Amino acid sequence: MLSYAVAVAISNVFLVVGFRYRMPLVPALAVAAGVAVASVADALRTHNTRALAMQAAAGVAAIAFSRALNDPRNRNLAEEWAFTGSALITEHDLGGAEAAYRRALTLDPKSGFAWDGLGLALYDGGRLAEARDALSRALALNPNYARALYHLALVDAREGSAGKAISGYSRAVELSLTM
Amino acid sequence: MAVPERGSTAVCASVFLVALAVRLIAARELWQLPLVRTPKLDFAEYLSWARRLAAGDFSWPVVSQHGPGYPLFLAAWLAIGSGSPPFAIAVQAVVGALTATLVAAIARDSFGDGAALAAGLVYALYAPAIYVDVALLSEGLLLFLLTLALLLLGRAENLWRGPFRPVSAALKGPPHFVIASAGVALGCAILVRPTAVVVAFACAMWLLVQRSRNAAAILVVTCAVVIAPAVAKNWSVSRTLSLQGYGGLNVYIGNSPQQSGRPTFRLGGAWDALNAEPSRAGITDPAAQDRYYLRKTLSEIRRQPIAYLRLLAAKLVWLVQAEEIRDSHSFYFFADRGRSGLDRNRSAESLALQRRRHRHRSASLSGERIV
Repeated sequence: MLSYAVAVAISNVFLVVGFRYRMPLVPALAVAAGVAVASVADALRTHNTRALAMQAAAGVAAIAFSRALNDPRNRNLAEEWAFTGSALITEHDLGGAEAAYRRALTLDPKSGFAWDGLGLALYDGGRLAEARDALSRALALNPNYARALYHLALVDAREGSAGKAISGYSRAVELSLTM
Repeated sequence: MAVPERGSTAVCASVFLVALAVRLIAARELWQLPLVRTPKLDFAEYLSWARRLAAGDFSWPVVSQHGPGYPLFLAAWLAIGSGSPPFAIAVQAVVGALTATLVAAIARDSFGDGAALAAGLVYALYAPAIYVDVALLSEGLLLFLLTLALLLLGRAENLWRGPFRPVSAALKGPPHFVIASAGVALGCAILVRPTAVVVAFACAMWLLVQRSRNAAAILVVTCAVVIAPAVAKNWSVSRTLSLQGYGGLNVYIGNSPQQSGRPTFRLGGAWDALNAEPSRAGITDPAAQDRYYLRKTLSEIRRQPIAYLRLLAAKLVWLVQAEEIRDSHSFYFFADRGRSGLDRNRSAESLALQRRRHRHRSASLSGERIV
């Protein structure tokens, strides 16, 4: 079990530490937690106050250490609301998509991803002026955002500005070869 | 110390039922979310590959974003369930409940029924585990396979030591057969997520040190037999032995002293720029792109060795932090499902009004719609 936990820890520390990447530690930790709970129950049953005190100290230390770091980005759900908007566009629910993107922007007004998505939802709804405004905001935050450039080029094309649209498409492809 | 079989069975059955009930309830709740019904990023990639496989399209990707194990697993259940993701997710809930049962069985083998019940319930009720078990992600299956391998290796150890307390008669047998089964489980885990090779290596080393060269060889050979077809196919298609593409990019994201060691790169300009770097340098071959990122990482580490050591230390601390580290999506979005649902209901009327307005406007368009 120890070899297993060490191997999982090494693979995380030398690759990327993330929510899903560290999940393989959970079964091993669950076994350790189960043993700890059984041990506490045993100490309670036998009135072993010394063991209980040591277990409580270890528990408090572990909990305190597990809260040493935090990053507000882990709990900022703007991106998830923006992806919800994207999912709703796919489901052809443009009103829902717009609401989701606006919620994302409430949580993070500097999310280029959400401004771009909002622009796309508005474009799909035929509200071209508003779409242009949203996409321009995405590009103001990040002038090299390929998707926003591409979506703005779509607006240009719909408005009949073929030259500007071609220029936008070219720039988007130049920036992101996955477009 | 022998443990009565009947009591152990009751513990395992209780853990399984609790874990299954919780996972099915969670799956039902999560399915209400658009982001779950219409997945994005890794979720969408897995589902897309599985749907192609389920439809009989076995064409192998030149560069695979993920290991083939989970898409094959998902494809099987999509094929059986008439393409229904909820059916596949329900099967995953069963697999997750089995993982909880395996956790209980591991604890029981060494520490008795009390620890088994507690360990099984800890896993059964641990929210991140519930989520990954019912998400369209490989981790639920990965956890099941790794836990199964751990149980089997523990059983092999018990067989060597003498007194053995089986929950399942099927697991009785010579240690070498049990080790071979563990090798198969680890091989499948590598197919699901290739980084499991580190765990397989650690298990082989443990057998080598604790038991015998033969035992380690059996584990390695059975593991290799399981992954060999996928490796051979990968070699024939893309001339690389790697089962999962973009390894170089991931190594860079995790090990560049200028980064956080966590998946903090998000979609947008910075991601586009990083992703397009090798192509801009004229490197189009995926294996060469991996080498490009590895060189870039090593060069940055050489320039900032102290910063790199600090990064490794920070990653070690992050590994055991209570806060869930965002990767594709933030776990808290899904954990917050109840409140999201309430908010959605509250705004349902205003959304319906907006939809009517948009439908009216959309009707005047040519029908072109980008998604």
